[in-house]
Amino acid sequence: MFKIFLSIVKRDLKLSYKQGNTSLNIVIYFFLSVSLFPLGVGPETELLSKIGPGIVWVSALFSSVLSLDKIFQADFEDGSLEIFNLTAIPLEFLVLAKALAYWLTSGLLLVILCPIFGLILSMSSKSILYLTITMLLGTPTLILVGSIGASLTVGLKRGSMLISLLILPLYIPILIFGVSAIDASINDVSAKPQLLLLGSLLCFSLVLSPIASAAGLRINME
Amino acid sequence: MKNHENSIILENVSCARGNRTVINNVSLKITSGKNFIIKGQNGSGKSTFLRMLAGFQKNVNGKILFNGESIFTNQQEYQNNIFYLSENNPIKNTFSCYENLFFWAEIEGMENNIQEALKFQKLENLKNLPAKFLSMGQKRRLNLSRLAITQKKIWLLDEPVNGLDEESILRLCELIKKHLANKGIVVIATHVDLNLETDTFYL
Repeated sequence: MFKIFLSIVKRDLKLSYKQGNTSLNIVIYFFLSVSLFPLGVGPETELLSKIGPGIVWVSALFSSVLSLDKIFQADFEDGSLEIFNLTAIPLEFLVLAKALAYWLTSGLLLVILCPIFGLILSMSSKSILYLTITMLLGTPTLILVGSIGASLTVGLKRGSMLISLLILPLYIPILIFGVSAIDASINDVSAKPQLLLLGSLLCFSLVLSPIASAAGLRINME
Repeated sequence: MKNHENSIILENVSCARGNRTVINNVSLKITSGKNFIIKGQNGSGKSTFLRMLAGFQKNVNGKILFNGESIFTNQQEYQNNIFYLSENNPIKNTFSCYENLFFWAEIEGMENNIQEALKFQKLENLKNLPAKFLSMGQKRRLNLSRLAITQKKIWLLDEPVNGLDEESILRLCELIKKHLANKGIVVIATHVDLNLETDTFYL
């Protein structure tokens, strides 16, 4: 079963590399939305460093929603999902494999790029460190939670708007704990509770999201 | 594959899609070694029948038994026996023929037979070509080449000859005959008369 899991991850990474546009769209959107804020609110270093974590987190949140509808759609349309359903791998693990591949091609890129955006927004090195840690813990959770919305709207032609409506409210705790961890580090207060909460949200979503997403896919495959 | 008798028995089976009852009180037996063909008009429920046998349909009344046991009792184990060929081709356009087939072979743990399968479907010269450049018939042949590598007992084929030329249809029949000789089960929904000994069921 682990071999099938790895095959799916490898295939999705290869597909993403060959198609390329999805990851690139996410990165460009992230870059544009973060770099537009200094133009909008002004170049004051103090203000930017104060609102910087919020800007990066909200941008990451919207970037991750941008192409979430694609996570299962191609496999649903060409019948691959039905075949996966007839293999030794349970749909829950398929969801995990696809979410992992999606994170590696989108979420991880955002994590790698966020120090650059931290610098653009005049954030201190300590804030950038905490920004990177919170993004590392938060982006997989965003994708796992988003996969539930993607599974429910997989049969719809234009499901991305509906996904946003379904899952953005569920993103609020991740956003709050992510930004508050960085704020705590700026104010020299321990950010451990927020980081632990982000970690526990990741653990919860690792267990619960695949179950919910697999149920959504089964409903759509009927 | 073990060469013992396998059978699927349907007892008073009904199945609805949406608000419409598509399959109504059907009882029949499908045995291994004999081809089973489903015929009917468009929308008569041929695809639903195959999807029901594959265990995709949940709103099924009546009993569907595989070797005496309900297919819903241990659904995952039952579904591991099924090769399902839908009307769609699970082919990624950016992948070559070889890459497409390799993925599905890897899923089944049959990576060693890919060259043979491509050769059988006369696709060995196109193996490095991205699938987006294949014709509809060639894509169908690439999809059907999965049949040459699978070890699954139950083949559910939905309009398998769509887009195929005569030579390809003969090759498909050859594969089916080989599978039936190994006591496999084959259920086909098709409009075309295949040159096979069949039990035919009209929906």
